[in-house]
Amino acid sequence: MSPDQFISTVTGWPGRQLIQRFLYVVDLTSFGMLAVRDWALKARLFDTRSYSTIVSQIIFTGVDALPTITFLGLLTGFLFTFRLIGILDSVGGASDLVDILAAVIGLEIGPLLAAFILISRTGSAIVVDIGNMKLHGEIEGLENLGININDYLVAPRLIGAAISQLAITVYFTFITLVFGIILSGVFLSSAHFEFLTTLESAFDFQIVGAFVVKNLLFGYIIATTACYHGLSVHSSATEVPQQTQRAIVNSLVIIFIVDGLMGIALLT
Amino acid sequence: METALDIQHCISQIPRADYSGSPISFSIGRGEIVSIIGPDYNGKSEWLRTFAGLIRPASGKVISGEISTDCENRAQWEQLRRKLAFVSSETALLSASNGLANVILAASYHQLGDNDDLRDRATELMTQLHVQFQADALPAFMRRDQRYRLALARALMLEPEVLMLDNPFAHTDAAGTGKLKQFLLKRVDEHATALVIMSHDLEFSLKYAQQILFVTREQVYCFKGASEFLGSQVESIRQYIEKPGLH
Repeated sequence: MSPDQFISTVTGWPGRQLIQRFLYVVDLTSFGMLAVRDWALKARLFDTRSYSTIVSQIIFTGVDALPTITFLGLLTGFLFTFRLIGILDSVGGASDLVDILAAVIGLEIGPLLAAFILISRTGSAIVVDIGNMKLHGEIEGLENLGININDYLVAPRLIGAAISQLAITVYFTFITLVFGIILSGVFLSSAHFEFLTTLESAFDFQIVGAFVVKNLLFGYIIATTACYHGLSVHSSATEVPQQTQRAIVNSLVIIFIVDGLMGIALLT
Repeated sequence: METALDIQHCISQIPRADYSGSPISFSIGRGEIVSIIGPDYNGKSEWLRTFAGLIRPASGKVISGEISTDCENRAQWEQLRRKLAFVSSETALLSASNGLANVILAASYHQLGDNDDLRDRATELMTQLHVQFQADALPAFMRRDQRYRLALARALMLEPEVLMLDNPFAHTDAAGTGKLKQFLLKRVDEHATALVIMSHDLEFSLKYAQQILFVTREQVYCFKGASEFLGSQVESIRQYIEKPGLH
């Protein structure tokens, strides 16, 4: 390799990486949108039989995860809410405390931690499930019967995961805030129990709207990435763990980027 | 006889490198049996998949009704797949669904009846196919021949015009093969389903097929019935017929 070629290779690397990432995001976005479009075109919204897959997804993602979410919610209540109230109390910032709790716990920590649970639990399960189906020819068998995979397999998972992400975040955030406030009321000052009644006022229309949009988007992104990587498995069993790992890492990165972009949008 | 499938100047894609014969053209009528036979590893399955529209032909067209198998339109493709059923010995069932759920799955997706109606039809089909298993058993806990017959029932739930079977007797014993043959013949007779079958069972082909395709890597020979096939003087066909212990 000549020096010119070497320099060209080294300096071209960031550009190539950027183009690859950009194309990946475009591919992923088109994939998710096509799946939902196919589902809507098939008028699945009005076909009660199509709900069974969505309901199964919600049960697996939301209901089955409740014990884990409850436990993590209690821990987070102690680690974040209780500690945050303690710190703000000591620096005399208690006047805006409920607004800070709503913004930090409700809008940032709650959705992010719930998304981590969804990625590690549901995202990985979807990749392994769809990847194995692809590997064993189950998906080919369905396609040969005229079944649209987007409509039958992908879209219900996207919709189910989006709804579940919203539901578990509401539950998770509620436990985190209430448990943290109760702890601070017991161990710091009984006046803190008052936050339980004033907390509601901190969740104005803008915060609730942003909360709903953010969580639906997180769930949709996690399931889209998982389905995309599951369907990227071709012929070898070793591809399943490889695609699972890629789906988890990429979901995390995208979630952080989207969270950052939404934070900027809310500030402006 | 109403035409179920029209093959026009077709060459399969897979054996293209070796293929020196002419493109093949023939029609398959409703209720007709077409048998694809020939030596092993000569591309019989690829030809069958081409007729089923699962592999795009290297040249020519395969047309079912008004729809060509190379159509790009999604709705037409779904319609085509309902008309042309393809089941191979490797066709996989959905591993997460039990036998009955697998059988009604495609018909339910295409909204061909309410759940009770589909369940009744599926149960009847499974009885006719002599499928016996626990209702909630998953495919992983079934024998291969049971899985195959369920895949067949799943495809038949769509009431296809053409049923294409790739090596259907691969996983059955002599008694099971006999029952499956009887079922297929009855199906052809009662539902006017065209049957295109790729099999190593020469006896079945000679006895029941109205058209026989003999596939070699270099050429495909089409015959109208057993007598024309048996009277052929093509060397590879003579060798195939006379090879001891093959059939």
